[in-house]
Amino acid sequence: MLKGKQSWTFANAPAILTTGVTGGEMEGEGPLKDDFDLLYDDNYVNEDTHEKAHRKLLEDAVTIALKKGNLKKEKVQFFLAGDLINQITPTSFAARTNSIPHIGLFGACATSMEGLALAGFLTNYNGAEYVLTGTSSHKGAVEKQFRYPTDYGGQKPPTAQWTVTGAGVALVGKSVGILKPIPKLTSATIGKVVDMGLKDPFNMGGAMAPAAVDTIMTHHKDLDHGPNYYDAVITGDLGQIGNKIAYDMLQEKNFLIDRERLIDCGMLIYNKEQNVFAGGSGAACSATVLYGHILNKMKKGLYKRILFVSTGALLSPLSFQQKETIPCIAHAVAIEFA
Amino acid sequence: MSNRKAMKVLMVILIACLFITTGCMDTKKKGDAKWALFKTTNPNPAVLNETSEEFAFSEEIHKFVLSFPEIYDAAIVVGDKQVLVAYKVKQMQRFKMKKIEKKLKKKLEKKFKDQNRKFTVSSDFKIFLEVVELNENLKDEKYSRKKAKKHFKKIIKLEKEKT
Amino acid sequence: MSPKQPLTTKQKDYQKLENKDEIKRPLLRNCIKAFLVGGFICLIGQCITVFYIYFFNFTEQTASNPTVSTLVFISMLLTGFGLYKKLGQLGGAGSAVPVTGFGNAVISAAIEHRSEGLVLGVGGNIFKLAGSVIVFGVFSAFVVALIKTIFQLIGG
Repeated sequence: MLKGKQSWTFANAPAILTTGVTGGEMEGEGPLKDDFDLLYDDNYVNEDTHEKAHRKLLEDAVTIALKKGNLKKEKVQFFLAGDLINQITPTSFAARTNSIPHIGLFGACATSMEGLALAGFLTNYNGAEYVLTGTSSHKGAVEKQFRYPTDYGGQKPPTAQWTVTGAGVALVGKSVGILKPIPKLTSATIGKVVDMGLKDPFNMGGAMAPAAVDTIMTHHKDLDHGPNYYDAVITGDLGQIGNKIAYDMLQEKNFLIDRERLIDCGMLIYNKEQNVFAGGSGAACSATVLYGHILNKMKKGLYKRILFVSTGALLSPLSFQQKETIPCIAHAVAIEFA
Repeated sequence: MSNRKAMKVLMVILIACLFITTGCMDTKKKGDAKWALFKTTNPNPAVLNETSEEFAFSEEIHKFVLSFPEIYDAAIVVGDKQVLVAYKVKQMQRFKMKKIEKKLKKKLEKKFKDQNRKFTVSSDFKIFLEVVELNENLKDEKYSRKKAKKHFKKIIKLEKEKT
Repeated sequence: MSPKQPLTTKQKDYQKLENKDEIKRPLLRNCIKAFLVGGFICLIGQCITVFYIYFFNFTEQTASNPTVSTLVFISMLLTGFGLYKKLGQLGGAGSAVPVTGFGNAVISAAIEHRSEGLVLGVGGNIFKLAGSVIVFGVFSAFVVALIKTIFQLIGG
């Protein structure tokens, strides 16, 4: 049901039944390595090219999610996914492999929650029994498309972020009839595009923070929640700098959330020794951390209610060369473990 | 390729290069020639035709070249029809390298125009090295004069190379 | 080309906040590192030149050719092993400006686009980064030569 200006509430308790999370080299050396279902030593994952590896990571995540749920792929109605590569080809090729009716999505790094919100909506209104949704990204493929060749010796500033190599997929279905507690989707907010005139493609955090703040505040307003209603408000990939800016912005707008509640996946996925500048980013950053680490924490009882906000920067290599600014977007989904 | 393996392969290549470069070392250079690049050697000028007039002539050239304030080292070999003058220019004067070369050549040709010999003038380190080596060889009486003449011609040809 | 849109007050205010929180590039430290790294690469180049003068038949003038080739070869090895990008992160312009940086730009592009075939992939993309260096280098050389010629004609 529509609530407020741009949010949905899900009365029929769609839930995340299982997840599949895959990762590459850096993720396997990071602090969250135990929350990944499958880790590869090398970013080529036994394939010839970065792009093929990108597709393989997503395919593996889908296979794992289905296996964990003991479900054959023929039983899944829709596959909602996207990534950062031109024409979302890795996702399309993975959709070719799993032959599930496919809706391709593009929200840059915000795609994961775009998919999860739509999956929740579909299952809530009986548009589907099971929906697979997820995102993937690959550092080599993304750097090649957006920035410089992998081996190029260019110097990155301290605001730069490291694209996550991996994929996170969730199997969404009705939780009616399931007795044990599972993560349920209670509401979602679709964000609008926000552009504060920033131009530096090496400072994504700074560009995306206003979009995240806009969506967070709209969500709380639409659903009439106080600032500390959720145990944690987790953003997808604002990074160290974006996270700080978002907190300052929220304080300025009198949204008095506790400092510890505002967390960011980009800051969680890598540790300082890995030299990733401001943190992780990429479409898979939010998906791999949410569907692995965060849900595990919920199962252990550390969080009961969270608001997960994935953030994305909607630029292209061409728009940047044409001196355009960077418009950003953020989508939010509220998850409750019950 | 993982970083550790990369370092190992790089180390192997580096050590291989080191062996190759030591193998290429030219042990012929003896005495002063080895240090020609690093200190002022100031060798006595040499001649290809050993007559006292030639010696006197070469000493005169040597003194004349050293009289220039910008030049601090000179090696000279006097041949039949050509004279090789290799010199080193003081560090701060290197900006005027071309001017010095032109000036030196003009003055030498003017002063010794009655000798009717062609002067080859160069500030290049390699030419200097070779001239010093030739000098050292000529000091040895047993060194074949024919070889010396060939070496002389080779140096003049080397000086003419542009790329 | 449309004229630049002026920033709204909301955008200006945000950018002020963003500027305050952003970690700035350590400019002075980067300059010093670039200076040292660039100087070190040039030092190695000089050693290679002296090596060629001593042990081979090159003069000071002609030794620059094999020196550049050797430096590009070394840059190729380092780029291929993924080590040049570490040097690049440390040195910035210090590793990008010398000829080794040019070699790195060309070689990394060639490696990256190998998957698209030799003609369109490698051939078409090999100068993706270095192309501007070549174009503007040649163009500025032309302009400078033109200026020099005009001066000489005028009688400078």
